[in-house]
Amino acid sequence: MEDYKILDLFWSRNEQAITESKNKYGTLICSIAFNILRNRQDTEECENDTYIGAWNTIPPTRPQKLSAYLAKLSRNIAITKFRANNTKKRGGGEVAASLHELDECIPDQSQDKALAAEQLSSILNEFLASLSQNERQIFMRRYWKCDAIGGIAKHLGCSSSKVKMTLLRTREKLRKFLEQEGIFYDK
Amino acid sequence: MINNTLLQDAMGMIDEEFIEEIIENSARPSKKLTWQRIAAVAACLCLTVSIATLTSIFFRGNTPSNTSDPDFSINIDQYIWSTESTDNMSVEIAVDDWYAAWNGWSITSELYQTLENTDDQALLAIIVETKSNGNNMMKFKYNGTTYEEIIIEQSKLEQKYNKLIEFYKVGEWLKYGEALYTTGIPDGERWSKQLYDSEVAYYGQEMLDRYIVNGELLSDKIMQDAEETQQQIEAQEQLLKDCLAAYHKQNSIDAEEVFVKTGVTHCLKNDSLYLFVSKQELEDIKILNKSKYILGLARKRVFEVDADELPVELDHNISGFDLEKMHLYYDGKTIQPTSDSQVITTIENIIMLDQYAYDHLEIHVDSTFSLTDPKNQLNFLKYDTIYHYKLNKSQIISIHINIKYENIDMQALQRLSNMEEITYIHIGSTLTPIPG
Repeated sequence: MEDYKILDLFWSRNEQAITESKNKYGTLICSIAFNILRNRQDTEECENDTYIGAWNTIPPTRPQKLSAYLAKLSRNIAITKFRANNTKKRGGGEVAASLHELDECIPDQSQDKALAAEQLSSILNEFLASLSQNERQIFMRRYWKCDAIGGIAKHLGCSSSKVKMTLLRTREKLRKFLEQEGIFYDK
Repeated sequence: MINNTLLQDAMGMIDEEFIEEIIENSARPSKKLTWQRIAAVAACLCLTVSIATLTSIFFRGNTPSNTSDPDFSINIDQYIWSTESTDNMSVEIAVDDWYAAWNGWSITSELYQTLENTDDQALLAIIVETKSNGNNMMKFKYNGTTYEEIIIEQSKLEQKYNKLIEFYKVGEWLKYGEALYTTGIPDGERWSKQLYDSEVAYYGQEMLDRYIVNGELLSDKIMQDAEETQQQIEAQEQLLKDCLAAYHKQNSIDAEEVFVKTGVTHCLKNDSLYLFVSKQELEDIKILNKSKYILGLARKRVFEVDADELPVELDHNISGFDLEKMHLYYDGKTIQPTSDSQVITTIENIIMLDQYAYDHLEIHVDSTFSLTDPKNQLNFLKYDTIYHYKLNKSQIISIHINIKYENIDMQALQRLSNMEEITYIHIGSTLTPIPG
C-alpha cells in the first residue's frame, strides 16, 4: 500500500494503518531497533512501541516520508530502551562504540551546561547539510543507525580503513563546526 | 555518559531528510525511481537530454510476427508487476547482500518470491538494471566532461562556498591581524599564535587580501561571492543529474543490444529496459555476463507514464488566485508563487516530476472553524479523498485532500484559494510537509 493511503488510514483513525505499516515497514523498523538493542524480544517491543508512537502522533502530524518518520521513532525508542537496559550493566556493542568515537567532538557538560539536545540537533542538521553525500552517508550509518564499520564498508564497496578515515575526518569537521558555533572549549 | 546522552538525543532529533537519504541509499532496488526522477527533472527543465525518441515503445517479440514490429503490442495487464510503492525502499534494509541469485541472475527479493510462488507459464514484467561499475561511471563522458570531472568540480565549488561562509564569521576576528594573538581584540577575544597561523594558512593570503581591506571585513563582497558560487554549485548539480541520466540511458541501450539477441519480448521506454517474459523464458535466456545485470519486477505506473507528457491539461487562463495563501512544494522546496501563471506552471512541474510515483495531487488546507462541513463544502474540488482534523487549541481545521490528476481543475483551486474560511493552502505531490 502506498504511503499516502497508510497515512489516510492513520488520519481516519483506522487501525488497519498499523497492520499496513507493519507489512510495509516492519523489517525496516526491526532492523534499526535490532542494530541498537541486539535482542530479539526488545526489538519486538520496540517495533510495537513504534506503531503506538505513530498512532499517537498521526494526526496531527502528516510526515513527509512515512519510512523516515517510523525509522526515527524506532531509533529513538530503541535508544531509550538501550539506556534503560544499560543502567545496571554498561553495554558494549556498536552503539557504545559509535558514541564513544564522537565523545571528542562534544562539549563537556561542565563547559556548557545550557547546551540542549535540541540546539545540538539543529547544529547537527546544519553540519550534515554541509557534508558531501558520501561523508553524510557514512556518518549517519555509523552514528545514527549504529552500523558496524565493516558493514558500512561492505555496503559501500570500499575498505574499512577508508570508512574509518572518512569518519575521522568527518569527526574533525564536526569538532571544528561546533567550535565555530561557539559551543566548544577554547583551544 | 552525559555527553553520550546529549548526543543520542540530538541525533534522534535530526531532520528526517537525512534519515530518508540513508534509507533510500540502502535500498538499491528503489534506485529506479531516482533515475526516473532525474529523467523527469531533465525533461521538465528542457535541458539537453532529449528523450523524445525513447518514449516510443519498440517491442521485439520472440515469434516471427512480432520481431521488430513497432506496432506490436501486448496486454500488459496479463503480466505480474511490482506491488512495491514507487518511491519507497524495499523492506530488506538490514540485509547486506541485497540480491537473490536465480539461474545466474541477480534478482530482487520481490522477483525471487514471485518466481518461487508461480508456475513456469507465469508472465512477468521485468525491469533490467545494469549494476553500477564505478570505473565506467567515473569515466562516462557527458557533453565532453566525465562524471568524475563534474564531481571534482562540484566538490571544489562546495569547498569554496563553505570556506566563504566560514570566513564570513571568522573574518570578523582575522581582520584584526596579529593583534588577535598579541594584544587581543576589543571584545576581549584572544587567540594563540598557533591557532591564528593555522587559520591564516587555512583561508590563504589570497582570501584575506580579497576580503579584508584596511582592517575592514568586506562582508557584502563575501556574501556576493558566496551567492555566485552557490549558483555555480546548482548548475553543477544539474549537470551531474543530466550526466547520471545519460549514463543510465546508455546502460539501458547497451543492455538492449544484449537482450535483443535472445529474442525475448522487450521494450525500451523512458530510458529503461523492460522484459515481458514467462518464468520459463526467463529461465531459458542465455547471455554472457548475467551478473552484470539486476532484474526486478517492473512498476506498471513507471512503465506507463510518458516522461515528457503531462497526464492532465491545466487551464493556463485562470487568474485571481489568492497568492498569499498558496504554498507549492516542488522538488524538495516550498515555493510561494508570485503570479497566477507561476501557480499553474509549478503545479505542472510537480505533476511532471512525481507522476511516476503518484496519480494524484495532495493538498493540505488550513481553515477556520467556520468551514463546518469540509466534505460537502469542498466537493467542487472533485477530490478523491478528504480528511479533516480539528486542532482545537489553535481554532484551525486541518484538511487533507487528494485529487486525481485527471480531476484537477484550476478554476476550482482558484475558488478554494479565495474562500474566506481558508487560511493556508499547501500543494504538492503526496506526503508534502505539513506547515507548522
